[in-house]
Amino acid sequence: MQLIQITLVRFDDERARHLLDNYVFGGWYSPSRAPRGISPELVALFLQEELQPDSPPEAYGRAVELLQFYERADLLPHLRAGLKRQPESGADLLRAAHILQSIGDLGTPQETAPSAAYLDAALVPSPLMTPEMYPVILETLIALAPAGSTAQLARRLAGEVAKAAPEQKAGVQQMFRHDKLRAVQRNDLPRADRAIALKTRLAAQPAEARRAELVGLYLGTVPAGGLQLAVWAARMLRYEAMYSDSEPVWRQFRQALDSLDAGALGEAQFNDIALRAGQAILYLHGELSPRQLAVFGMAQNGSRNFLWDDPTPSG
Amino acid sequence: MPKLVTAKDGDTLCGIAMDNGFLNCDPLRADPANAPFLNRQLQAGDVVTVPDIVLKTSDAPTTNVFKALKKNAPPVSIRFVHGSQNLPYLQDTTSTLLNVSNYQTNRGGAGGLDNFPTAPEFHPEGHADPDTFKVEVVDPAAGAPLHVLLEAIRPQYTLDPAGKLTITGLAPFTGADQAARSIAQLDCPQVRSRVAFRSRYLRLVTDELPTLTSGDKQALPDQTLLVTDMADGNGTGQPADNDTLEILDQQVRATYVLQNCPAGSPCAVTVQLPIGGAARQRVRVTFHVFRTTVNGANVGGISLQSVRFRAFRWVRRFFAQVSLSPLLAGAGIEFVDPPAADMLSISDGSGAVCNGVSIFGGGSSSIFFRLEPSPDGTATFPSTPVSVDLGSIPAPRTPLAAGGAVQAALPAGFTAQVFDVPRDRNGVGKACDVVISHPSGRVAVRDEVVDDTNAAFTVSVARVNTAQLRSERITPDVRRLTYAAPGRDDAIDIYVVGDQVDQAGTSVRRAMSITREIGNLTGDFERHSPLVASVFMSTSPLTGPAMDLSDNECFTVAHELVHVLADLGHVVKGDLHESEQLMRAGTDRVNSATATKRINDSPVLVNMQVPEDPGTARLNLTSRIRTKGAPFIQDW
Repeated sequence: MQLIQITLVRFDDERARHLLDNYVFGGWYSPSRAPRGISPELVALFLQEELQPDSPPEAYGRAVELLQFYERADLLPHLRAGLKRQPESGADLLRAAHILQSIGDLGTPQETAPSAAYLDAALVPSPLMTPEMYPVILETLIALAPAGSTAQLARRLAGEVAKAAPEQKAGVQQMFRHDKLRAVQRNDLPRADRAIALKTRLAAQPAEARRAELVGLYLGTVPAGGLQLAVWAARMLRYEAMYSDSEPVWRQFRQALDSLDAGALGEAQFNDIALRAGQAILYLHGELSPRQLAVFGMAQNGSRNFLWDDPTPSG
Repeated sequence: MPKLVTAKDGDTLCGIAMDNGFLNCDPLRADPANAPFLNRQLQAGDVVTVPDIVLKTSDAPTTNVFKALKKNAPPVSIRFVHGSQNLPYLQDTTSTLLNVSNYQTNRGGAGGLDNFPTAPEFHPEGHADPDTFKVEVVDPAAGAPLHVLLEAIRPQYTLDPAGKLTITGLAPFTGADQAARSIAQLDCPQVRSRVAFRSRYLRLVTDELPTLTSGDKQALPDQTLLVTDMADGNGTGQPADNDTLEILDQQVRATYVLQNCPAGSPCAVTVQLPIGGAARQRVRVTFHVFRTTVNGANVGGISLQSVRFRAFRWVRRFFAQVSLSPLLAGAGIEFVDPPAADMLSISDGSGAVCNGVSIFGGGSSSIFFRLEPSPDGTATFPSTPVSVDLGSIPAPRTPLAAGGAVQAALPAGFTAQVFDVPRDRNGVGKACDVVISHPSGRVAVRDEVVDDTNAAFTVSVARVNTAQLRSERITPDVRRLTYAAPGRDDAIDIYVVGDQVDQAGTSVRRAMSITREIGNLTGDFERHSPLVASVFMSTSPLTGPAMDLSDNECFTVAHELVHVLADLGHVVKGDLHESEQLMRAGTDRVNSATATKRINDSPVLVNMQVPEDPGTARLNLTSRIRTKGAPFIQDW
């Protein structure tokens, strides 16, 4: 079995901490992509030391992305300490949503089930909920799936829509509030339900049965899941390649790469998918055929995808 | 026969007299032809009459040896110098312009961390700052102590027929303004070799007397000259307006009154230098201030006066150290209604294509929405449903293609502008915004829904609250405000909103800028007009008012402008200069001598977040502002 690492560690502790600090706490001007090349143990240690219960929600959002890449479930107890019995501010609410997302990403069923219950008990009924928070809570529910459901949130949303409906004529802001809630009800909620159903189905399947669909989800050629499930699919495939057998994963990606139809996709999308597939194969220590290598080389568009370790130009 | 001498700037009667062999100006003052000059300093072009020298002869025997001293040589003079370590004093280069210092006022040295020298003579800690200067006086007949008047001189503007302000004269400030902008008795001790008198190291600073804490002037009162604005925000572009006065149009004058001039109104030598010189340039900016409701109050209750005040006081002060000043370009300062809910954003964030297949039974998917008159407008059209068939769009069904389909599907009378949105870092393609309008008035897009099988293909409507802008990223709300007032490509647009919040409604920042990220964002990711080179300022962040007539948060506008000009982020945490830099993450609220206002220049380099690999660089920010900011900068 090929030994695949999450990342090729190439930064010393000082530089790595600097990169992590800039990413997690750097604010508006920080890089938008979780830095690669850092020891996963150091990532966990850094977050343990620096991410505090009162850290900005944005920092918790960044931690979610770091942990998705570095897979440090050992950090969950530390994150859970940031949950309050009831959120006391909008920041608490958003922070809690991010913490639950990480639990959904990394936790066991024994951990995700109570987290989903907490979401229903503490977040969904919160008077601090804004119309803009609904999509965040829905993302959290997708992360926690198969645990939990959108039922309680949907009930609250329906109640809010009913309340907002007669007020919508009172002024522009009242109309905006109603329309935002309606948009969640008509678009985000059913989309989340479909994503949850898809994730639940795939999660229950053996690796072989779901592999092709996961590859399609990651590449966007089976686009039912959206971007959130694309990352989840990538993590599932990486897990299989790391801990089971990487060959079938490579094979599935190669097959997808070879079957791309440039004419149907258009150049930009073809390149994007080819790059994504090529990066995934190389990241998972597979090899590209000369033809695939040529396609991969032509597809370079500056995009760096989840399954990619951001190697330096020299390799 | 008397000789006629045409005076030059800085000439004195004593000086002309000495040049022509007299010991002082008495003989010239006695000549009736020079009567106009007895009670004023000479001006260039004055014609001075130099009487003949009356030779005196003596027939006494010369049996002793005398040591002769020529009392009037070298001639009395005054100049500005930076000084040097090794050259003889009089061989030091004469300065031809002065600059506002980039250093923390009481700091010096090549690293910018040493104490600024307060003693006369050469000190490497004072010499390292290229913007320090000294006043040098040569007067062989003078004895210590010698004092010089150092003062800022204000320009006098005239409005030409084309509406352009030009400088037609220079004059001293008067009264309290003059007192604040001068050192009446600048000490100039004699140098070691006794050939001249020189002041200690001096700096130009731009902080006026503060109300709460000590500013730069107070940090080192005897070694700083205040050169500052008089902005009150009330200007209308007239020559005499306080807002019109530019720091970089001012000059610095040093005046030495000859100690041995016998006249009642004694002769004085002067030297006067410009500030900034040819390096002076202007940064084009346009302010777009949003109202909270149509024709309603401005966000935060701010006024035209307060916006002018913020630009012409604080931006001028902090930018003077890099010889820049703001110039209101395009609309200058405009007040803009909040946009209606008239923008559909397609695949915001994801940039995903659609499949053209419906989740309901496999038929053609569609975008559906309804167009209604916005309740805050005058539109008169009836509620109009619009259905856009996504299945009929040829593959690849990109958001931009879908936007085009939306445009094409609009009923007669409606028009749309389609905007290509740069790809988000986490997206798979470029999103698209469609702004829909109707000639009768404001449009509201409602009941939007999409049923495509691609879950990442979304539609949403920007429903903007200008009092609380959602800006946790470049959201559709942020983009809609930009489309409402796109400004000019060659100017930095400053959008003024009430507050900036995240999804939970929590105030998240005082301001943010959308930089170009040259070297990082390429291809589809590249930001383009109008979604770039813009600043979003909050009037009412948690830290107090930021755009009113107070001095609270005085650094923020200048800080944000530097983000765009230099195309970079903040000073890297832990840098030795972090606490004093204008680009520190989170500037101070209140001005002080140690506050976050310095824009580093050589020799002090600061470690900064940059978009290009590897993400940080130790650099000269002043140079970077001028090179990266060139598209927004023009000649003085």
